[in-house]
This record gives sequence, structure tokens and C-alpha cells, in this order.
Amino acid sequence: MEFNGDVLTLDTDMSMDEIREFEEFIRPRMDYIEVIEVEETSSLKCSAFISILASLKRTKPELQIHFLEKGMTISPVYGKIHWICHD
Amino acid sequence: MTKQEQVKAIFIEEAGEIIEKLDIDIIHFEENSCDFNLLNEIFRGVHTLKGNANAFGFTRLGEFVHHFEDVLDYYRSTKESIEEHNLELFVASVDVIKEIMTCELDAIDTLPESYLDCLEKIKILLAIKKNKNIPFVEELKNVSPLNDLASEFGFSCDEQVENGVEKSIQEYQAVQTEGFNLYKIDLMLDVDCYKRGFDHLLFLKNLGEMAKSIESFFNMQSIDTIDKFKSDESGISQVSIVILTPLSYDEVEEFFQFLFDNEYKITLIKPKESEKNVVSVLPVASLGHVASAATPILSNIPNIVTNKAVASVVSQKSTIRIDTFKLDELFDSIGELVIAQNFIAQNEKINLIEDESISRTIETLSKITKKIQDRVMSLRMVAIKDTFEKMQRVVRDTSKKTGKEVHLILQGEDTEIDKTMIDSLSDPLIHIMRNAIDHGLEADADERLQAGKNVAGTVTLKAFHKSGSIVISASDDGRGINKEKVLRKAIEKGVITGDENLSDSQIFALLMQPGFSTADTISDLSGRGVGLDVVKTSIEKLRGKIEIDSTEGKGTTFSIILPLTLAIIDGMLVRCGDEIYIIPTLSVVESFRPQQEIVHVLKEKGEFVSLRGQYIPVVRLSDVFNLNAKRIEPWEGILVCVETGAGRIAIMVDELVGRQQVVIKTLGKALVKLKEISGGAILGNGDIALILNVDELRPITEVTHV
Repeated sequence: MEFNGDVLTLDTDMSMDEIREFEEFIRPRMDYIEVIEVEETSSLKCSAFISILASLKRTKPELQIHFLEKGMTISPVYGKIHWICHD
Repeated sequence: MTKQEQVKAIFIEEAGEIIEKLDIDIIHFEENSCDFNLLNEIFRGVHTLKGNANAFGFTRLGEFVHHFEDVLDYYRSTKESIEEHNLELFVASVDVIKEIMTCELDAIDTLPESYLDCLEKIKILLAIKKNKNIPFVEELKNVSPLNDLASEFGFSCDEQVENGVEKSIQEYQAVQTEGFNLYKIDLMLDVDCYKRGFDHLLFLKNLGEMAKSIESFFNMQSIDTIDKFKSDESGISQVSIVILTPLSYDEVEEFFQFLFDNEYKITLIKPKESEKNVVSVLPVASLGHVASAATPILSNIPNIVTNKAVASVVSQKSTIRIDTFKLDELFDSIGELVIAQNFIAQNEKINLIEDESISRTIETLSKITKKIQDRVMSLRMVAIKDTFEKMQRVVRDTSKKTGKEVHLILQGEDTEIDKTMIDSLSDPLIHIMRNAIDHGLEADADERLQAGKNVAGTVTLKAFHKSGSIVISASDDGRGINKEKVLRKAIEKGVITGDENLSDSQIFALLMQPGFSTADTISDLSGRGVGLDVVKTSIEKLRGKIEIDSTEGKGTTFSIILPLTLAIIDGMLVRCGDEIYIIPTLSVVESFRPQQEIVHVLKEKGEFVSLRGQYIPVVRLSDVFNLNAKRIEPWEGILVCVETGAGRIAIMVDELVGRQQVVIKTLGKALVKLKEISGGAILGNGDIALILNVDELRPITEVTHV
């Protein structure tokens, strides 16, 4: 996880513990973050990663999370994954 | 042996068979890498091996074959042509599998040297291939995400997932081929699934390993805002998975066996040609499981599915695995039956009864006994094909190591041979084949061209029946054996003095003396002089013999001559004094009553018979066994000329009784020290006869051809 101004950069391979820490970290800082960038250097580790991004987007719809917005990822491990977040 | 140990023993045996088959199949596949049926066969073998290895805690083997299986699966799914260097990697992988299996069985902690290197190469190959194979990455970058489209057209999350799944099913149906099943799996994991150790991705990963294609749709509509969000609780309401896989319904269901019934739903999708696109049809065998699972059962299970299942069960019952120990016991019992039957047939008192019905019954009994004996014998007989096919690998490897182009011709692969012998035959044959290529064939193509031969050498491996024996011959069309060189070496090493008048076969037989090698250079393949004598010993243990025939400039043939079985021998019954002895017919060259003028007595060397210019030592059986028989002259008795490891000898007996197949019986510890006897047999009249070990009737050092 890397914080640079109002851009937060995350890695896709965050473990559950890291996601939990991130959850604690981000909750009070929602107002300061405009963009969340996700580096897809490796495969996802937990489905909770997509969940927390979806939660952040739901909380702050103007938050730019390109990874989430593209609605899908392709992994050599999991195949093609789509997520549907609106409603 | 406990149940667990028994199961493990079966696994080890099966694994051995799978690995042996892999070894053969991979060479065939290397020759024809477009044969995807064969690739499927290899994949299935590796897949079974993986499952079994992991089940029995052979984790290192399991780990390796798991990755190897992935690579094989990639190629069989994509039908992509396999690059030559990757074929090499496949062959090397089978070698590693063999080595790890040995490590696992012997509980050796150290991994084979090539293990990590090969595993790494496989992983890299897989990574390259899978990344390259990510479908439509570029195209998809330009495709509007489902979320945007759905928002635009006002679809709900559920509808959008449904649409995505339907589209995915249609795409997969379009590429579905025979042997692949299409499933839709809905995962509705409870909120506490993470705490129970389950993650949706875990199932995707496991399924993905067995899938040709897999696509999933995460429905995130129930995700809370961050103030209510809890990372360790799953807010994902449903994940729908579409998967194209060779797995059966039951195999797919196994992935979810630790979930609650309401947490998953598996639906088998019919291939495209069906009238309805999506119906649940389940193999009959899986119905028992379905009742407890949350999967709907439709009553319209097509008959064709039922029939297939039944056919499969029938074919599975066509073979049965039997412990060879039980077969041996059965064989022993048949041996006893044969003896009892012979006893009845030759019993004088019974023969005196003049009753046609009794005679007929005895005759019938004799025929049935013979038939049973033949059938039980056939149970132990297996085709030599597998052993021959193994040689393809040996030839391939030796050819690569020596840089010599070699064609292998296999003939008579269907010739059947006793299972016990098959097991012991591999090593000697491997040595002979390596020898044929390394030393038999010319050093380079130029030498062959100069000799008017094709650049590629030919090695022919042949099996056939000859005079009640099995002959396995390995011939090369190489430079042949230089007899002068063999004799020179033999004199140098003191094996012979140089005064002997040796026949060609005796000269060639010198090559099988311990420590004898004519190779100018020692390679890691052959030339150390420790091979052919071991080959000879191994063959002799099988009650066989090995002959070498060679023509300089034309090639060499090694012939292994084996009895049909180790349990029965074809013997010549001879009488000496009051005793009956059996000489294995395989060793007998001829028998005759000599004329007085061809028998000679040499001072301190004993008696000899001069036969076609050759002086053959006479061995009096009565002397060997200290029999109280009347001493007669050789020309008054019979000489049975036999071939031994040290040359021919003439065994002097009183009478030839006949020729008979006898069941070999071991003699027990007390008589084991008598080297001149290899076993005993019960004759038809109930008498016991000793089987002669002709090689021990005269010490090897006594070889003297005058």
C-alpha cells in the first residue's frame, strides 16, 4: 500500500490481514482520497479485496477506482472474473 | 499387512505401472507430437498419479506432477503444437517423476538433482503459456464493462449477472468438444465463510486447475458502505461460475464437499445441440450424492446417459488384478495335480484293470489336467511388448548421448513370456541395447558411409519361439566384433593362454567374462567390462543362456534363450546306476554312444571324447554323485553333450530314459549346498529325480580344449 498525495496505490495480492489493516486505515481517511490505483502485478489473494473496493466506491461514488470500474480481471489462476457492483 | 498398507502397496504398484507407461508414451509422443489422443492418455496417467501421490503423502511427487499436469493440460486443451525443446522438457519430466518416485519409496530426503530445475522450467513454461493464452485481453480493453452497460440499460445486479452467465454459457457451448462438460456453479457462501477458511477465490483456483475455461461473476450488490463493512465477513451475495472441464459431476462436487448444502448449486449444462439450452442432467452414478446436495434433479434424465454408465461398468469388470503370490500357489497346486494325474496314468495296478470306461476316464482326466495346466500357465504369461517399448527410450537416450542416428526395429512384441522373467529381463536388455549402439555401431556417419551402409544405424530387437524356448535377439548392423582384438585382450588379461583352439562362439563368449572389455575408451554407457558378465549371470539365473554371433563389418547379434517358464522345464531324463536325473533340454546339444577310438584319456586331465575335431571332457555322473554303480567304459554308456558356461562337456550316463516336462521343486536348505543340483522333480511314478545344474558339473577353471 502506498499513499501519494490523494492517490492510494494498492496491490492485488493483499492478504486478509492486510485488508483488515487497510480497512482500519481507510475508514477515517475517506475524505482525503480521490483515486485508488491497483497494481495488478500478481493474482488476487482474497475476494475481500474486491469487496472492500466495492464498499469504498459505494461509500464515495466519485472515488476513482479504475480497477473496480473496469468490472473484470483475467487471472491465469482464477480465469476471467467479473464483478457487478451497481444498485 | 494393515488395510492402509495394502492400499498403499496397490498404489505403489499402480504408480509403477503408470510411470512405466508414461515412459513409453512420452517417447511415442515425441515421435508424433500431433497425436493429441496420446497426449490425453499421458495427461490421464499424470492426473491419476497426482491424486494417488497426494493421497498417500508423497507430496514431492504430488507437487511435481501437479505442475506437469498443468502444462500437459494446457497443450491438450489448446491443441497448440509443442515446441521441440518443450518435448525434451516433457521427456525430462518423466525422468524426474521416476527419480522422485524412487526417493519417495526409499524415504530419501534429498530431492533428485534435476527436480528443482525441471519444476522451474515447467512453471516458467506454464506462466508463459497462460499469459499468452489470456483470451481477448486486448479486445476486452476496449469493451465496455458490464457495470456501465447495465447502468445504461437499467438492469439490476441480478439480471446483469444472469445475462453475463448466459452469454458465457453460449460462448463456451460454441467451443465445447467431446470429453468436456459445461457446468454452472452458484456459490452462496455464508457471511462467516472466511472464518471457516473458505474464500470464493479458493474454489475458483481449484476448479481452474481442472478447467479448459472458467469464468465467474461476483454479485456485489449486498456490499455495505465502509462504515458497516467488515473485511472478515463476506458481503458477496453470490458468485456464479461457468466452467468447461473434463471433470464429471461427482468430481466437481468433491470441490464443495466441505460446504453446507445451501452454499452451492451445480448445474450440468447440455451441449449446444440440445433443444433446451440449460437443463440439469446428472450421471446416474451421482444420483446418490445429489439427494443430499442442493442440486435439482430433473426426471428427464436421458436413457443414453444410463446406457453409457452401464457400459462403463461392464468394461471395468473385464480385468482383475491378482497377487502373483496367489498365482504361484495356484501354479504349485496344478503341479501337484499333474503329478497325481501322471501317477494314475502310469500306475501299473490301475493299468491292469481291463475296463474301457476307466481307461477313458483316465484319458479324459489327463486331457483336462493338461488344459488346466496350459491355462494356468497362460495366466503368468505376458507379452514382451512393454519391455520392448521401454527399449525405445533406451535407444533414444543412447542415440542422443553418442550422437549416432539409430533406427530401432521391434519384431515379435506379442511373444508371451513368464511374468517373473519379464521383470528380470529389462536390465540385461538395456545393457545389450546400449552396447549395440555405443560399441556395435560405427563411431560416425563417415565410417558407415565408407562401409556402404546408411548413415543411420539399425538395431533390431526380436522375440520368437524356437524349439520350446523363447529367443530374444538384439542385432545391430554395425562393425561387428573383431575376433583378433578379443583374443588379444583375453590373452593380455590371462583369461586364455593363446594355445586354445576356440570356436567363434567361444571367442565371442570371452566378452562375457568378468572384467573383460575390448572398448578403447570407457564411456558412461558401456566399456567398463562389468556389464556383459552381469548380463550373462542375470540370464543364467533365469535358467537361460546368451549367445553372441557376429560378422566383422556386418554386425552383431546377441541372442538370449530362455525357457518358457521358470516353474516347468523341459528335461531329458537319464539313468545312472539306479538313479534318474534330469538334464535341462535347453543345454543339451546331442547325445550318442561313442566309438572306442574317439575316447581318449589324457594324463592328469581325465577322459575326453573327440567330436568333429573338438576334444570334449567327459564327466561321469556316477563319479560326481559317488554312486555305487558298476564302472563301465564310455563307449558302453551314453554321452550327453551339453553346453555350459565354460564350454561343452559330455555327461556320461547309463541310459536315456526319455524327455518330459517337469514341475521344478526346490530342495530345501539341506541340499542347497549341492551346486551340481538345481532342483528336484516328482516323476509320474512318484519317484523323485534331481535336476542337474550342468554349469557346475565342471569348474570353469578346468576349461581345456586340447
